Parts: sequence; C-alpha cells; structure tokens
Amino acid sequence: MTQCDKVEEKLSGYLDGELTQQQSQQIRVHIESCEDCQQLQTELLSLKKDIQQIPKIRDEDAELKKIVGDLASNQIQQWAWTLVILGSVMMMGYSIYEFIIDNSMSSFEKFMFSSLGIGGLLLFISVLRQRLIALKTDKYKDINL
Amino acid sequence: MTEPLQILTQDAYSMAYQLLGKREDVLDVLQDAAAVALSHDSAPPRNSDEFKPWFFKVVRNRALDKLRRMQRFSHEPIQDETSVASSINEPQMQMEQIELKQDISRALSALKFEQREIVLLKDYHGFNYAEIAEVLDIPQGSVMSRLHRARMALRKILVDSRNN
Repeated sequence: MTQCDKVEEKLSGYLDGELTQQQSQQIRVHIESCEDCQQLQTELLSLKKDIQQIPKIRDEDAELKKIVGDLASNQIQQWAWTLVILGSVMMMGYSIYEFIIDNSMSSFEKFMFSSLGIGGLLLFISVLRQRLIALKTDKYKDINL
Repeated sequence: MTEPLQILTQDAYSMAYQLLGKREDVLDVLQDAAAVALSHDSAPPRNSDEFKPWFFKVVRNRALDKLRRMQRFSHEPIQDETSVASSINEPQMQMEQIELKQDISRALSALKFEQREIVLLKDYHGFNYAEIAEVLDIPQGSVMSRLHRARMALRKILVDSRNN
C-alpha cells in the first residue's frame, strides 16, 4: 500500500474533522507534498460544499405543524383512555360483586341474569378478537387505492 | 445545540421524503415516529444532543418498513428511484437553485441507496460520525470508510458524466 493509498483512506475523515490531531497532521504533511492527493482533496471538498448547498425540503403546510402540536393532545388522549378503561373494569367488578352478594334475588334469577351477562361479554370478546386479528394481519392496509 | 421539535421534524421530513418520495407517506411515518418519541422508554431526553440522531433512526426505520411493505406490492424498484433529484422538483424551489444543483442531484440519484444515504446524512443533514453510526445502526468505526467509498463513487459518476 502506497502512502497515497493510506492517506486516501482517511481523507474523508480529515475533511470532516473526525481524525485525531496526530492523524490530521500526517495527512496535512503528505497533502502539501503530493499533487494528486491535493487535487483529490479539492474535489471532495467542493463535492461536500455542493451537497451542503442543496436547498432543504420543507413542508410549510399546516399538517406537519399539526403533527408536532398534536403530540401533547395525543398524550392526554392516551391518559384519558387509560382512565376510562380502568374505571369501566372497576365498575364492572364492583357490579358483579354486588350481584353475587345480593340476597333479594332467587338462584334462578341470578342464573338467568348471569348467563345473559356472560353470553353478551363472550360475544363482545370474540368480535373484538376477530377485529384485532384482521387489523394486525391485513396485508393490504398500506395500499392506497 | 438542541433544536426545537418543529425544526427537527422538518429535518426528519426531508430525510423521510428522500426515502419515500411521497408526502402522504412521509406524514404518516412522522406521525408514527412522533408518537414513539413521546412514549418510548429508551428515548433520550428531548433537550439532549442524543435526541436528534435517535429520532432520525426511528423515522428512518419506519420509512424503510413502509418502503418494504410498498415494494412487496409493486413491481417497480422504488428504493433507488426516490432521491434528492425528485425532491428538488418541489414547486417552491427557486429555478436558479435547481439549475445550479442539478448536476450533483443527478449524480446522487445514480448512487447506490446505502451510499446516497450516508453522504446525505453527513453533508446534507450535518451529522457527525458517531451520530451517523447511531442513525444507521452500524459500528462507528465503519462510518469513515463507508462514507469515503460513497464520496469516491459520487465523484466518479460526476467525472464520467462530464466526460460524456
């Protein structure tokens, strides 16, 4: 491997200021005495500058601002949902407990109401499960028609 | 220096646009990434220097996922078609800027996807090597050689196109 090859390997690091002081010094000394490496350095530097000057793509539309603005309200919504779900579960548990300890109903009445309640709940869970599976495995959900 | 979220999102927008080339897809990805940024346990603090490369990594991964899913249903090679050249055709860009930079944009489009990406992260987005390693999820030691190969390839494309 010639000295030029060794320098070329590190030339990008040199231009980007990512070398140690000692490495930079070595490259600098070589470049000062080597016309080819000097030429390459100039070319790479101008390439770098050209890319830096490419105008940034900007989306001035309100939608992008909305995404950032929405972050806070999304977080509030997440909290709100958590509270609603927690409250519903607790309320359901409490009603079931009240229902079990209620002595004013006969066993037959309790059996009737529980089958209705449990049946309804199972139906709800099965539909929810199907929907969730469909949502997760839908291969075409990203296709815009 | 940390940047406000507005500027950060704009920068991430331009990176995702270079990958996806379609505004609706980019907004989709950003929405997703922004939600992750708020809720993810491993997210660095918003006002730290680590947040920007981390956020770019999330946006890039989401964009690549989307790209892969779209490619599965398309016969066209999307990956190498989207580029700075297409983004530069945005109507709000000044004509003279476009002419000035057309050469370099065309050359960038001709680069391999991985090479174009690393060059843009360095010179267009201004990340340092440690940050590039974080965004691309590669060892920091391989950033310099990979970037240099990409620049040499870009230079060759430019030289060849000028000679023809």
